[in-house]
Amino acid sequence: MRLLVETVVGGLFGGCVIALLAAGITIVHRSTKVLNFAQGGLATLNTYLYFQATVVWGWPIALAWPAVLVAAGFIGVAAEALTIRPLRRADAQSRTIATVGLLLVIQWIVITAWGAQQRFLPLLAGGGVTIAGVHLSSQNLVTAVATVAVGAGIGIVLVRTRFGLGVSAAAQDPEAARLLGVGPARVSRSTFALASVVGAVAGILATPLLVLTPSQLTLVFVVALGAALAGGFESLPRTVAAGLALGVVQSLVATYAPFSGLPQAAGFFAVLVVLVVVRRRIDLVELLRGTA
Amino acid sequence: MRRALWPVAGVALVALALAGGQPASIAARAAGFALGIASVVVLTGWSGQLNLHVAAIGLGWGAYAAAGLAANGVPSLVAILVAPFVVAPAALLVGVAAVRFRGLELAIATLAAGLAFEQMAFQNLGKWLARATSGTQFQSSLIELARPAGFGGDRAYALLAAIVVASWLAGAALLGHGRTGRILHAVRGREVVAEARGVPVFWWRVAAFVASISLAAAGGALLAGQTGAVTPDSFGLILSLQLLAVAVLAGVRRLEAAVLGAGLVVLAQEAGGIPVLNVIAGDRIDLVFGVGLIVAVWLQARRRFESGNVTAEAIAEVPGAPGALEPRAFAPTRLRVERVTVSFGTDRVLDAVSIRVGEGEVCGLVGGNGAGKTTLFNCITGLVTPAAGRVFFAGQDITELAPHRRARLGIARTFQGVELFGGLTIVDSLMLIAGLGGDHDEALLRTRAHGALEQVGIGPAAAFHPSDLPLATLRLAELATALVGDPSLVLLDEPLAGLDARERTVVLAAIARLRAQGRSIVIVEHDCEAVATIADRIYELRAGRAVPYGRERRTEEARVAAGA
Amino acid sequence: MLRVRDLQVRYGSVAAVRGVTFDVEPGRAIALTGPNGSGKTSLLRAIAGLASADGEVWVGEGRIDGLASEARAAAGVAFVPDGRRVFGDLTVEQNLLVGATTLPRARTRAAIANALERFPSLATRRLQRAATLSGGEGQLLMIARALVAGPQVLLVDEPFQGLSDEAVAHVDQVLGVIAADGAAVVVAVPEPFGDLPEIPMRFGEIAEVVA
Repeated sequence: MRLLVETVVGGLFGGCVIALLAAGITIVHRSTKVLNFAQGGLATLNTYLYFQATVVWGWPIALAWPAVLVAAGFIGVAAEALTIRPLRRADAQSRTIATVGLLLVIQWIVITAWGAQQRFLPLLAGGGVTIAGVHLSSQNLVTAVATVAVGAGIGIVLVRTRFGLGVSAAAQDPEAARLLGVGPARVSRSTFALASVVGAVAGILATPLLVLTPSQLTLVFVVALGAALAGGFESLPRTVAAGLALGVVQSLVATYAPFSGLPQAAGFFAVLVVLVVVRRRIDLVELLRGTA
Repeated sequence: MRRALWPVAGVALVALALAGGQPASIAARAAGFALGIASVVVLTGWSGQLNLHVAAIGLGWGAYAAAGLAANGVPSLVAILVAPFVVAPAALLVGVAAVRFRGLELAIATLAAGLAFEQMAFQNLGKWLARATSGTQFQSSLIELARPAGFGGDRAYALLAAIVVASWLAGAALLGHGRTGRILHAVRGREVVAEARGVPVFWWRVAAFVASISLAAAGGALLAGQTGAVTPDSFGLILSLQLLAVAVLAGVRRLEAAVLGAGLVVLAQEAGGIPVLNVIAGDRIDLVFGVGLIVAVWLQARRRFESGNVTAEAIAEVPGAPGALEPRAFAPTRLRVERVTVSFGTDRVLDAVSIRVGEGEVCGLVGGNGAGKTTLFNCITGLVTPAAGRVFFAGQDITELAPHRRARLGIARTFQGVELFGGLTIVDSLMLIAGLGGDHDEALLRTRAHGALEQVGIGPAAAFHPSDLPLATLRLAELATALVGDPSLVLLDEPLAGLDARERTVVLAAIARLRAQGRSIVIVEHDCEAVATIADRIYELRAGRAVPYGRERRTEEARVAAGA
Repeated sequence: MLRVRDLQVRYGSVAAVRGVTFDVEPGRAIALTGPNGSGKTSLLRAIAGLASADGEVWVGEGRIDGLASEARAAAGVAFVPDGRRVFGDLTVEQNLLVGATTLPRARTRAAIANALERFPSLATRRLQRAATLSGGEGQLLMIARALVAGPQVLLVDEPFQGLSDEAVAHVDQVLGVIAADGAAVVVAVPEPFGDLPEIPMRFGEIAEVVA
């Protein structure tokens, strides 16, 4: 029983990372209809920057975090300016393909700057607490707190600031939002920047528990796609819930069914399940409905 | 230039193969990659679907199939050649399940499934097969695949690879040509039109899926034989993205991309020691492909925005104006729609709608956007089945009849402005659409196509592309697409859209001629006045109900009152 | 003041607007009339920057035809498109806040308060989700939202479609008041409306007005 609780709790923490990446995917998609395939790549790049700051240059954590988050914002803006903005008059599908190109470029940057070997990040905090017989590591607690903070932050920005409301409005009706002064360029740029920052947080939190390699977070990204899919690429609460659920599923499989390769593949199987359950069957009638 | 590519590539491949040693292994690898890229061309370029992890679902399947066969005692040569045919049935099963998904969802499905294979299936397959070959408790996931007997040397294997890739690419080229090529073109771009003419779109997409994976499997088997070993690492996601990127870069609609792309990939892998070219060597391949992909997408987007210039003068000349329409005595009913009701969810689009069209009559349907005009058309043509009510054609109840059967009975329709294919000449578009119904005879199709163009008075426009013709001519060409099968009932969806007063007269005259031939015509239009000049009756669709319009209202009301 | 000179709109090979020229003085409202397909909507969309067009458009002393749609909003053009285009998941007040996007931050609160005062029926529904508003209230919200930034030119596309008579009267009254504020108002309607001066359109051109 205690094993079950610990497994589920551990899964929830792991799910925080998935939820964060999924939130980044959803935020970009709902306002721009672009599926950012480079989300995992951006998270990876920012995490490597954090590695550079703390492990290589020895910066204190209190300095590294804000520095990397700010840098992440700029990187998001730069990435959008170079890949998406030139395609502003093309359709969303073209821009989505461009993010695949971006992923390849980021891959190159990371391998060239830091090489392909495994790197390790130290834990953010050591030790842990034990509540009701269940051990919670400090790292996990920090993860949870950070995730909640980021989530709340995003929520506040989207609902309480004029700018955030503009982005939410653009998600519902981009044309009507444009007519009121909320331009698609600004929306695209700011959602990318936000997604990059959120990805940075996800990467920095996740990596001490995994290893840092150029492709690690891209694999997590695919699982996050499943969570975003479950949220319809639109609803942040559903996306976060799905992310947490997927984390729990992965954790359960790892503990109770550790057959070779299954824990690593569990997330991907889960994505397939989400697809089948959530799938919107756009059949012929609906296609015609558009012209009715 | 394109035509020259094939012989040049063939000669280069054979030359490299004959050189033996390192060049020969390059040739063999190029052959494998070419098949992987061809797989992307067939699936994405031709049928419009997306497999994001072709390295796993495709190359990997082929490699493991070959290794698996060899581990079970099949001679290596047979294993490599037969692997794609072992993979095909699996691809069929997967395709039937997967092709229901569209666009982004299919992409995510292939991505997730491919990674699942990478992380789990390949590892375990490898271990299981390795145990089988070596007979010991071999823990590694690496399986060996020996070179085929007699093709052990690099030179010989490369020549074998050349033959294999040439055969598969030739087969793919056949698929892309002629009738099958045209059908795939329609399936990709005009699915609704294809479905309406009886093309089983779903099964064509499955076929493209199976063909695509088989192609990649053939390539994977070749690659496995070349390296002599199969490991899960060989089929990573980055390889898939690189193959995708290079396919898009080289032109994903054309099979030539397979050759160009393979050349690029191999060049990047080998260019390390060559000055100047080593700019794309090693890891830099990612940078090149990434930037290249973005640039390629940008160029494609720009091309789409350049609208065609109108160069040809207005060719449409239809002899005779509508003139005075002889009032018809009561014409026998050809089409009767009786109390048809259609709802989409809670939205009742058609509410007990009844209309009647006689032989040689023109019937107009007017109403605002979303009033249900197109839905009514869809009921008549069979793309939508009403929740209530019946549809009768020449006395026969066709309510449940499939669209392509109704087409054979003589019902034809146009779709609002989407009939013609931008990349084809007018006559080719007509032939493509006419050929979707199942007729194969090219000469017959051509005759019918030209005949239809003559009937609307634009015979000379046959050899032009849509972008070269004025709008009135295009509208008449769209009209002609409906005439190819010599229908007795023609449904026209906004045939006057975008035309000015003079152009409308021309198109209306063409429609009047069709009426004079005895065809029944139903026109959906916004412009009541224009329709009124040639219509025998007009119905207005408002809030899902059909109301006889204008002068007909009195006649209809009288008839209803008389209990007819 | 709105000045339009030889405006042409094409969608591919289809000419939706074929060279239209007219002026609207500040404080005046005019009705753009014509059947479906006559080009009214394309004309308004082109002025608002949503359709690419050739020709000149001037708002006051500034020429806006080279600007993107969001920049035209900042330049004083407000366009209320047809159909129900409120941001359904946001509240009435939040909808208005989005309308204040082009205003300096300091003026936002006053502008919102002003809007709520002018539209009392919206004020009582301040915190209500916009998706739950009736047809007429939604139309009012769209107009109120467009007015928050104090535009010089207000373009409205078929605001009366599907509204009850009462709602129609209300919207009509509001449009009159807006004109009195000094904005130039253009309303697209299928038939001539009240005693508003009329610009009739037919096949993408301004038709001859038969006296």
